[in-house]
Amino acid sequence: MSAIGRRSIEDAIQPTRRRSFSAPAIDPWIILGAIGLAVISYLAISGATKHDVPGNPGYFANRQAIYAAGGLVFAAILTRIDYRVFEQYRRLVWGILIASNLLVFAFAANTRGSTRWISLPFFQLQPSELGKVLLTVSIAGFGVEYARRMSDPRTTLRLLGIAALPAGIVALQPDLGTALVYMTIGCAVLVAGGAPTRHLLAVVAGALIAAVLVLSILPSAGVNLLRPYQVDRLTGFINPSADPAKATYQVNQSLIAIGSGQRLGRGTVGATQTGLDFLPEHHTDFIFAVIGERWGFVGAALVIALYALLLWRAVRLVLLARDGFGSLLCAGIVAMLGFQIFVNIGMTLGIMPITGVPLPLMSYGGSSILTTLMALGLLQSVHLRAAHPAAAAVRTRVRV
Amino acid sequence: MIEPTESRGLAPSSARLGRRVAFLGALAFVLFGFLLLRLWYLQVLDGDAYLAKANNNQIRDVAIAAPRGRIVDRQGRVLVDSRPSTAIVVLPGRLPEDGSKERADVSMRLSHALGLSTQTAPCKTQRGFQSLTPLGCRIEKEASDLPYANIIIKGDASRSEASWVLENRRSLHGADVSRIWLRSYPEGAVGAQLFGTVGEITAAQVNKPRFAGIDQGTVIGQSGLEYEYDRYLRGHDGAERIQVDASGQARRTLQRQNPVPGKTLRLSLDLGVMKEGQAALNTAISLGSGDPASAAAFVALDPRDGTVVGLGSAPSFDPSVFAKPISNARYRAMFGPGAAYPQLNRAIQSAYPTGSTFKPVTALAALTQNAITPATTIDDPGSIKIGNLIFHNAGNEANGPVDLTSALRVSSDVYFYRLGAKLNSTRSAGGPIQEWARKLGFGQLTGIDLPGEVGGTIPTPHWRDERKAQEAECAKKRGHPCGLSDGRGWSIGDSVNLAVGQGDFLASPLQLGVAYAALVNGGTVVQPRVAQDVRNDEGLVLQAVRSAPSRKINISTKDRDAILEGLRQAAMAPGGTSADVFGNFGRTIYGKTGTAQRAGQADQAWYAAYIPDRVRPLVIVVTVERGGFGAASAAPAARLIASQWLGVKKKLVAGSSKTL
Repeated sequence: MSAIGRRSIEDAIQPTRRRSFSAPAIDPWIILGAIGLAVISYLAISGATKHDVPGNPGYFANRQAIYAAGGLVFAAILTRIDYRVFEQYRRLVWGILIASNLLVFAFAANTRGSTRWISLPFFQLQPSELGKVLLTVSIAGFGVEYARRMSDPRTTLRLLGIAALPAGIVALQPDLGTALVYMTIGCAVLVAGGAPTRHLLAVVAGALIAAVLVLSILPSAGVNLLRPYQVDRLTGFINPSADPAKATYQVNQSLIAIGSGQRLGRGTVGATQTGLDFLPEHHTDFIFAVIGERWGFVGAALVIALYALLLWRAVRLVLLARDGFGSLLCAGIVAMLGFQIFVNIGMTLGIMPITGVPLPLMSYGGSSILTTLMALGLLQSVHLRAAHPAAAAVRTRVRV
Repeated sequence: MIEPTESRGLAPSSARLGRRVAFLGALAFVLFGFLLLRLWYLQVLDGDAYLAKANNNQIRDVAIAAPRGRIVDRQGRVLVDSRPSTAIVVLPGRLPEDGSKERADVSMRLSHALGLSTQTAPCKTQRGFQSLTPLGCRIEKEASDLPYANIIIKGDASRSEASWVLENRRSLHGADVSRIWLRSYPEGAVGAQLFGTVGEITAAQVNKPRFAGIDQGTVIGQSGLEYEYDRYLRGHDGAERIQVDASGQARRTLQRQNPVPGKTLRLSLDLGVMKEGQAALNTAISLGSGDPASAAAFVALDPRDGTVVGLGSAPSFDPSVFAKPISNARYRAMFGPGAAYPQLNRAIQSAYPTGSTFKPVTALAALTQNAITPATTIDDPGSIKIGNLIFHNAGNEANGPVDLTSALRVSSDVYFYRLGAKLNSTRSAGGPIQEWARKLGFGQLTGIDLPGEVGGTIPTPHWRDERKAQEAECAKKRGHPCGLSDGRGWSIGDSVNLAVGQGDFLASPLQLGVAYAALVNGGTVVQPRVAQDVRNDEGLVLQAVRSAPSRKINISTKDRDAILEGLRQAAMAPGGTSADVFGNFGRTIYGKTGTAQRAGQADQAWYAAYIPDRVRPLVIVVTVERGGFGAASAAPAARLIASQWLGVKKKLVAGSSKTL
């Protein structure tokens, strides 16, 4: 038992000082945030989907609860495992990431024009979701390995390539939102891994150029990398009321749902946008609008606050992690969660494009909740092993 | 457990990492701040507006059409009914944006699904010319005329058409299925002009005081009784506030105001007489001797109080054709000159010279002026010279010496020519004939409870001069004669013509009926009435229709009896002008034939009859345009109607008398 073994060494070195700090432990704030969000998710889903499956009002909510429970088990296991073991398997992990996402094309069932799922007997696995964690692990591993060569532009390019290849595969599924999550994770690792600032500026410039190319220049030259509906969604949020019949219909309905919630919300019965199906995807992508309509500003702000709490704890861990790998892992997870939270909520509020990114812990979906809880498990694993200034001090001594 | 490898990386807590994490943390803080601000803006600052939008999403106010009241005959037999129908409608307010491709798309898809023309053509809209289907063009026009009214695209839509619209409601913005009421006419063309038609209130009507308070899209009476008694027949539409889901499906009713059906209008008409009258007119048209007789009309009324028992005009039409939109070309073919204007109610809306049926009026004038007594005889050599004009009997037949009774029996024209000459007056209002014509209701509206009645003409010296002046003015303006007048002043010949109901004299069949009623009832000039009362569903009388007080004129019993005896002999005695029609009728009947000469066309046949009865007396007037001699076509039709009324065996007997 490595953890126990290490602890006994620490005890041996600093028997007196240890006592003045609390024991290295899991972060209760992360647990509080996760449980709080999961409970809100359960309530929101059970209210919104009451009539979706005839004769089974709890269909979606119960499944979400089961997924969350399963996810918690995975999180507990990951907490127990020392995250550092994953570093050596970064290539394998990346391979699994690529293979599983390719597998989708071979085995996947078609759903709404996208091919994202692998059907398991009890579960529809979405490899691109799980891939968020896999990519974080493998790219953090790479970042640590090449930490001393970060000033080399080739390192930056390779790192971006590690993210870009799976992102490209996922984009073909097509799942543009998740592809962007992958790229964001890559960028976060670049930032936290110590890439020179000029590289970062170049990446930002490159991203802007790519966006302009894909959305405007190439289509006018007859090359369409994105499907028309994707372009509509990406650009529609700029003028949501232009065409109520098409892409922006969803955003308009979402704005109406959230706005009509006012300060305290309309309750379950009064939430007509949700109850009468005006709000599309009410239990998945637009669940935040359900919360906004039902519980108003108070409820929506509480959810945002809980996310802020989670992110704060994760950002803090970037600095407190025992080693570079843990630090980069946390940075990737911060990016993964932060991007999804901001893009999803921003989408429901009409200030971000529609990209189909789920809201972590909140949107209905086993793969998503499993992935998020695994990420939180990794955070706890990092926290458990390096969460204290005391531990940091101990580690310094050990190193010295 | 898996053993961790020792990290080869840098110690993470470098100053640079710290700066960067701080920067990212600040960035995240700012982004979350954005989210909260936006949330605050949406929910707290703009919440009311979004709540209104949410309600607008889920709440639909739907009008529930109220059925119009029934129109029933004197015995409660249904003449006009309402039936429910499924209609495909377009709600202009919910159509896609003006001039958009989606908007044109909706009408194109509807045209396609409803089997209408999908050929597009330039259509003038508020946004200039657009290429639209005929349906799309109609929608644009109606939407700009009456923006708050549902446009009925198709009444009597089939089940599959309706379900197609319902299934596609989400993409067919503005289209919906609605339950409407249509008029049904169990008796088809019988009385079509009398009952009239209904239609949505038009853009021109909407601002008229008569229609104040009527919403756009409301179906109102547009002609006939439907128009006259619209405020009773029209119900009050109900309204329903329903909650709908995103697919437009109603989830529950939030509020409901039930529609109030229109009241039942009970008429004094007798369905049997109406049907027989309509059939008799068609028979009379076929009996007509002239050019193909084209049209006919009849009136049957109770002489005591003007209660109308039957009133009809031929040709008629099936009013149910108006349940569906009708193209202009089809409308012209069905209702234009080629079809002899079947919408015209000739019993009240056409004025004709009445020919010899006018003679009793001349007789009354002469008797009251003491110009003659009933016993005065005048020699009838077949023609007479008055001034420098020679007036003939029909066929120049010489009747020899005739008194009043025999003059009426054989319809001696010379007798009445003489009276016309004798009673001529150059006073501007004319002489006793004009005076009596006026007293009996000619030249003015009878006041019947139907719209569009005409008043006819009683020619006088003043009227002639007026027409002459009008003609002069008109000719000056247009530069060519207008045909209003021949430019002649009043002459004795005009009086001679008037005495036999010719010349410039014009009257509607109804006016003639009212005049005969006054003659037979002893001088009461009645105001004819078609409606009897307004009832509710349970048959309770809510309002009785009262006619304005009738006028009473003085007719001495002696004069009246002398004239009626002439009319009785004309119908029943050997040698009477319609004796071969009514001689074997078996009941006492008074009747006068008329054959009016009309410029440029065959003679118009007339018959005016009176069936005396203590309980149910009746005056019948029949006229047949281009029907030839009165005895040939009008009298047989009158006999059919009389038989129906009396419940005796109907027999078609055409007369041969060639009198005017």
